[in-house]
Amino acid sequence: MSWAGLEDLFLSTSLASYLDKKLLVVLRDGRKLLGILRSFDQFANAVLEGACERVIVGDLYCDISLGLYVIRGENVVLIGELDLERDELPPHMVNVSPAEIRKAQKAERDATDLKGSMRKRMEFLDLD
Amino acid sequence: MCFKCEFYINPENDIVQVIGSMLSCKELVGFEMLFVSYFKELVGKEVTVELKNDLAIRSILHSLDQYLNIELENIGVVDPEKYPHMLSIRNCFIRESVVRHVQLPPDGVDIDILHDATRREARGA
Amino acid sequence: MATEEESAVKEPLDLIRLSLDERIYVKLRSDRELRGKLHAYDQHLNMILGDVEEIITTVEIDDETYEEIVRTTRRTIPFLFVRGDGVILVSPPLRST
Repeated sequence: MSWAGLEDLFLSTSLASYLDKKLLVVLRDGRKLLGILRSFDQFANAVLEGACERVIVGDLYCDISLGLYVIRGENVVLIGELDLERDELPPHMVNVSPAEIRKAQKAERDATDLKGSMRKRMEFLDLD
Repeated sequence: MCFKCEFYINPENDIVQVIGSMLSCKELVGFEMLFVSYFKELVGKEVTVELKNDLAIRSILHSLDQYLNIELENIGVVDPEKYPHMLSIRNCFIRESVVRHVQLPPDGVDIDILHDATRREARGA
Repeated sequence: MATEEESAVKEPLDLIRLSLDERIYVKLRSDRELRGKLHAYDQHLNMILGDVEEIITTVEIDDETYEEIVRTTRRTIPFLFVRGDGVILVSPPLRST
């Protein structure tokens, strides 16, 4: 057996190579957090320093800063390493203020709620 | 620990070490490692991982662990317009519990070896 | 020729074992169905299927009429690993005895 092949023989995924790097963490509820990974364990519990939430609504986005976050591993979908040579987001996306993004979020939520309630009303009419 | 394929889990750091092919090792019964040993043989090959949140990623399988957490290298998101935040991600770690399914290279592993390994696993369980 | 012990059905997973190398039907969470040849499985019902047909059913609400639109999308996948936690049911092939 050659030493060159030794690397392949160990079964491990370790977040160790992601330590002290700027990461994107996608959570199960769809939220996207950015921050520097300072610690982790085998459950993918993670400590993010300088964390912020990237809120995206259509072509608008805003980074809302959160501070130091400890994330419970269960809620982690994916941890990605940001490639600093690439654009973080497509060029057509517009950075807006937290107030504006909250407004856009609410408008989006209201639109889906309206669809749902209209559908319920239609179902009610169908029964008649 | 298995003496045939030298499968061994280090109790200190949970890292699994294997020298031979676990999938075709006839001594390795009842370790519940069927899919771990299968995916081990796919390291370096291209797979498409589809997550429970519908995000699908096509990429080279870089590594995995005994829980089937996976690490991907040089990822490509299948529907990039829908996931603009993934644009600048090159490598990523995916938690085992969020995987829905994985599309595999058809030439990955010999079907007969897979059937034998499955029967051994069924006997052991 | 299968021995008596190998063909006996004592527990649910024995039926899956007897379906090895046969086409099975799998119903998954989030309105997904699969048909494919079973190549591997374990006690969690993680599976590897070959020549898979996947059917995805989605319900959308029309923007104007607010009617429900039910869509089914089909796709074929040559070789697929399925995680067991999404499996609702597995139906072995019908066999004539």
